[in-house]
Amino acid sequence: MDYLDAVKVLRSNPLFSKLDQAKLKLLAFASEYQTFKDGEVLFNAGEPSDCAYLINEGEAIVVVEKDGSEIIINTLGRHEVFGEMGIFRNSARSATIKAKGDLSVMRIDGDMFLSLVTENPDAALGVMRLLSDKVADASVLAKK
Amino acid sequence: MILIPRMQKKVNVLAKERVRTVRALSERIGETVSGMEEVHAHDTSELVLADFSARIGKIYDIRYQIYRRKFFIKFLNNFIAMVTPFLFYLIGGYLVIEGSLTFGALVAVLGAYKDLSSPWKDLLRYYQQKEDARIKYDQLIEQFQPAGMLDEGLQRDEPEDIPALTGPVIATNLSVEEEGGIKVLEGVSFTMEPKSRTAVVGVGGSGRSALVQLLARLTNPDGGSIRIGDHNLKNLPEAVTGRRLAYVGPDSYVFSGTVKDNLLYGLKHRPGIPARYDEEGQRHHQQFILEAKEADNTTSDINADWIDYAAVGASGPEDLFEYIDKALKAVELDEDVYELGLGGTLDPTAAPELAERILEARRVLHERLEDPAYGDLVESFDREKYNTNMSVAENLLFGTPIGADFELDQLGLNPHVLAVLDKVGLTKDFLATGARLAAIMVELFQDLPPGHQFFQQYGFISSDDLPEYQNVSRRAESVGIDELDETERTMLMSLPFKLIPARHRIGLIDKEMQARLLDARRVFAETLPGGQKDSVAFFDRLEYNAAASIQDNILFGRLVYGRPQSHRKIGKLISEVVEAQNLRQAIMGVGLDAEVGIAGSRLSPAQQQKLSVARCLMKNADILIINEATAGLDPASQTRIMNNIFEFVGDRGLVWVLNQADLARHFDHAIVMEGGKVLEHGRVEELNQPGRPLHDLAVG
Repeated sequence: MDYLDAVKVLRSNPLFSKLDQAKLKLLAFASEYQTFKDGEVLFNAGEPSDCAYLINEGEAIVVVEKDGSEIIINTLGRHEVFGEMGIFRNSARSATIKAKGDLSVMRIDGDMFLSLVTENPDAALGVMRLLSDKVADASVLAKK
Repeated sequence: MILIPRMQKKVNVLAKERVRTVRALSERIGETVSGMEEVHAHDTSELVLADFSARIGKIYDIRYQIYRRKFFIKFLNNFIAMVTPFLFYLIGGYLVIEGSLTFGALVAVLGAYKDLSSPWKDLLRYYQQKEDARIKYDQLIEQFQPAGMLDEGLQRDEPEDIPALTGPVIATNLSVEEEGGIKVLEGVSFTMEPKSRTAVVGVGGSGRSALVQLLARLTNPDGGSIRIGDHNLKNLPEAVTGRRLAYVGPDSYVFSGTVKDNLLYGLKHRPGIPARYDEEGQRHHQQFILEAKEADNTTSDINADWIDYAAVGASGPEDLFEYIDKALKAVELDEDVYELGLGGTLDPTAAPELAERILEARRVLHERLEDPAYGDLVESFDREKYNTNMSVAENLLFGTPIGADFELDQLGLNPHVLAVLDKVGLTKDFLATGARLAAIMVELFQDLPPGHQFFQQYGFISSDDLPEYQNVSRRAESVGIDELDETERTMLMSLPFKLIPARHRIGLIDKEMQARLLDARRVFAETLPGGQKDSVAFFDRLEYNAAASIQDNILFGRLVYGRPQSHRKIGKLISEVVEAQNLRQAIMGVGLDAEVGIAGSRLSPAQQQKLSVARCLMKNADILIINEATAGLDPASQTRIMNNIFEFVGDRGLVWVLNQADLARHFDHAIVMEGGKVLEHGRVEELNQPGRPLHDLAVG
């Protein structure tokens, strides 16, 4: 995928849609385009959080280990962003992410992601919205 | 007249060599001082002395040659200076005798009188210098003989037979004082049963470390004694303590040299199998022995095989690896050595059979890569195919550069490369691609602060050069590439060489360009000037590449970008192939020959600790003493390695100073130290009860 195509993918997510073209181009150029096969691990719970991901094509599952067995707590789809919470909290990964079928993602460097959000009010607002949604999802999940 | 400058030239060369050799000697002295504990603990004083003897012998040799030449030059100078007046006087004298010259006689007498005093002056000066040097020498020697030194006999004596130290260890009323009267140990008494496992615990400063240093006879107590069986430890020569005991401390020293040198260090007490010399070497060696005797240095030959194979249990160099591997496995260093080997290089002319087997491994690996599970993880080298996971420069070269001629960073400046591009008509395309690349980089990076990590990371243009490229890119757009001057063209030409299509995803190297680059690759190899034939080791499916690492030789391709799994999966696959081809031992052999750097700096601290422990294991000593030597490892590996060492040591003695008291539960006996005294000692199951000190330390 050419980096100019990557710009389009980034724009498809509300987090980045309001950013100006120059910033997006740099982000697209500096991000790594990665592919995974079914079951391959993107990161494990407990690893340091050094990047965020945006799904380009395919699905990923969020897995936590409980009493020695794996439980899928969420499935992530096209154009969703994940892995950003660890960056903000500067904490280790709270869950494991695996590919479900063929998966292609953009890997966004953690420092790059942080500076993007701190320097651009639009992106910051997008992140707040994203995080609020996740909190809301979590409370729905908790009620179940 | 021609002779003197020529000899002076040789003297200068020798003087340079002398400085180099002296510097190496002083480095080695510094290193030995830092590693003094190891020298005592492993009884390697003879090895160290032999090394010094050889180095000093070499310096002597060089100096001797220098002096011979220097004084010959002096002689010649003097001779020439003297021969003229001599002739003058001779002829003058003759003339005087003939009665045709009287003034000449006067000059001759005066001249002779003046020159007569010179030898006397020289003699006097020599005497003064000699006295001066003698006084300085005496002072220097005094400095090296402070009070409280270990008796030289204990270090140099080689007893007829080396008794085993397998009896019970009985310490009676030990005391150690530091300068200023501070008691480090006081009234320490205990008994250790033979062949038992004893843990020494206590907080820092409790004297636990001083205690085991006494036990290893690295220091002697100020009062009291330690007996092992029938022997008073104090009277045993290092030939016994350094071989029958093994001690490893918390910051054991790793000497510069190879991994193997360090691993076998504790086995090199006296020269074993003599070195083989050719006629010239033998003559030189005899000379060395003569001089060494004269200078009262050791005559042991540093080039001999010093390894004590019997101590390891091996019969000779042939089956040594088996034991090395066992020790490495015990400290979990085998994998590291294997990795070092994979990253190392091999000279296929020296080991043709091994190179052949590695090529076989390459073939097998590429067969396995056909499996869809690995399908897209590696892009193999293929002379007929453009490799999108390599830079343009690497694609052009299609080989490993040797030396500086074709350094990848500078390839855009190489005359042969530029000529090749011209020949295949790529120059203009390179300029155009360079211009587009410059425009993209300027657009992307112009708002970044100088020194931002991306400049480094993407390496096309540095932040300093960015404004210049901005100008060139603008000019290229407005006036066209043909109008650019030489400097501007060079700037643009150099850019595309760094492009890696799969990584940068800028799309500038399209299929058509790739095909023409393949053309350039072919022309580059075909027209390579004769003098540069040895500057590239080309990738050839059927040839071993001496300039590349063993791993690269097996892989013969590149891991693809954007597949984070490739590293782990392919690493595992290479391991499997190596195992299946029975190559592991040979690769580990290359790893064992890897240099560890000054004070082991090329190894991680954990690797250094493991290597120091393995060095002790190799000795198969009667008592192994470990003084917090695994404290730098994570708790899980510490416990694993502890269990491995238990198994390795078997029923021989083991004393371990623990940094975590709770690990004492794995031992038979424990000595609990506090404030330089033994708080209690005995069987662990008795001591490890609630309310008792050991239990408190373990829980706390």
